[in-house]
Amino acid sequence: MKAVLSADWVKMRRSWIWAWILLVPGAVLGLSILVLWYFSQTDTAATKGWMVTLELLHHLLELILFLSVPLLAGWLAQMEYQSGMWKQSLAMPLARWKLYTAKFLWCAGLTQIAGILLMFSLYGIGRLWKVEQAETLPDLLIYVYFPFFLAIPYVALYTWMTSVFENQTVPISVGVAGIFLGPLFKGWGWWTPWGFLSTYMPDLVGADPAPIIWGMGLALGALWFFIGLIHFNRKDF
Amino acid sequence: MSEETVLRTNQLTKVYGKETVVDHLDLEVKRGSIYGFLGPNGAGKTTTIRMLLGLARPTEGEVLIFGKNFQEYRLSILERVGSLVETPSYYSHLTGYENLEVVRRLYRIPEKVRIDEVLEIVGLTDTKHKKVKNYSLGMKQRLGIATALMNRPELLILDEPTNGLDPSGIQEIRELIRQMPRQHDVTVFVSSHLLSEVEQIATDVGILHRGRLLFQGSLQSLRSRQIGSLVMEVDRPEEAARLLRSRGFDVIQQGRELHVEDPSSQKVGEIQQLLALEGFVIHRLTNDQPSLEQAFLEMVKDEAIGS
Repeated sequence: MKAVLSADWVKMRRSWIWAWILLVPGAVLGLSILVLWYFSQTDTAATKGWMVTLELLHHLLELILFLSVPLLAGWLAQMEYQSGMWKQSLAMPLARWKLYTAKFLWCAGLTQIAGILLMFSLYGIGRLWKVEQAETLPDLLIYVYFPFFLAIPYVALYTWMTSVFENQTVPISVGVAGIFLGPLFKGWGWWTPWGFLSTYMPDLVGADPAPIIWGMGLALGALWFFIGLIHFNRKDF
Repeated sequence: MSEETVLRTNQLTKVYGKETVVDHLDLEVKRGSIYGFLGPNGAGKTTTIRMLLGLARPTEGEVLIFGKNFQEYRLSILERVGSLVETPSYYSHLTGYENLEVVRRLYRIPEKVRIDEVLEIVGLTDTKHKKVKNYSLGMKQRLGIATALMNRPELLILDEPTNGLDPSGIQEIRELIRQMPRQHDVTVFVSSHLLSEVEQIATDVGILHRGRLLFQGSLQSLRSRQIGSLVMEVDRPEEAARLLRSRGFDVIQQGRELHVEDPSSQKVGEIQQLLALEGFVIHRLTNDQPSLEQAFLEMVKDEAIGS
């Protein structure tokens, strides 16, 4: 498994995948700074600007995740398909499940890293701007990072789709549909990868998510991961 | 050369929907040989290779490599096989060296020096730090072969390695393949849709058409299978034909020409002697031997080949 993970690491050098990791937090951060700056110009308390930033984040994060996860998974898979290396790797003395698991781990891991980066950088901005009521790190963990955790079943679904479809436009199209599917599945469809994210998106005033939601996230992620793995294992390439 | 069989398939079959793409194939590849797997495009060569490497599951039949059942011993067999499945096969954003570094990690080969060794074999040492997207097609293809050689394979399976190359690129790859059994003790299974290609490198040939194996054997035996005919021009063709028929020869008269199908050299001598004794004047005597290309085309008649 280590061999496959480290081979993937070499492949990601000089690719746009690293830009993605920085782009998502970077874009959100840029927007936050813009909002804070705007409010500071109008002589309003920094707290007001901070609240608006967090409110914006709440609306944007879901959208960003629905769109960027398929993009990231698509990149990881496209690298293999475009180069004809999927088949080449599958003809090597490696268990198929290892190749698939490595893709999932990278995709899930990079998503979580993006979330953690965003969390820390927002925390840093709050301190730098001297926002009086700036949230503490544990608050931001729930409010900023938690959506990235909620996306794990979604990541598992996309690892599956991008790995078995040679034509990446199919998964990307379904990814765009996520913008509509998220609100559609909110509540009753909590068990779907889209609904899970939209249903449990943390609210500014809401309480911390019950521990069971963390557990459910992992369970649903595992479910989609194994469905994908079984299909990948049986597929003809 | 030992006669040990490295690769064998028993009634290998692949059916997609209602279409039988590979039809009860019995391949046999001997150790130390270069086996040319020949067939027009769409004959089922790539599908067969995908089954040999475990990329696709056979609908029926089995694959035996090194005497072991592939399904059962997939990993231990693949440890000893190198392949070039799909062309191109490389990460274009990485350098040649980095590409092989990925492969080295996947094969869990501890020594990095192996990368330089294979680069040397395929002649890419000077350009190893260039990004592969800047490689010529021939260089990319050689990199593919370097990839296939990384794990010091005993069997090399190459799917159309010269596809899309210019004549000099084809020549390079051809040389590379030819040296494999002698210099590196590697048995090669190489597919192609060009007979001329196979003719120049292979020791054994399998001809696939519409999923069926039309011929399998040494290149020599393929050559000897060709049926030629003796063509003669004599002064009195009708009389000569009558004479030869009366002596048991199968003669066809076409205008002033007489054709005798598939004569042995002994018979050619007999015919000449007989005609001379009876006072016929032989103006011309030729042996009309069809080329291997014609023989191949004959076999796969209605499918256009070559490009």
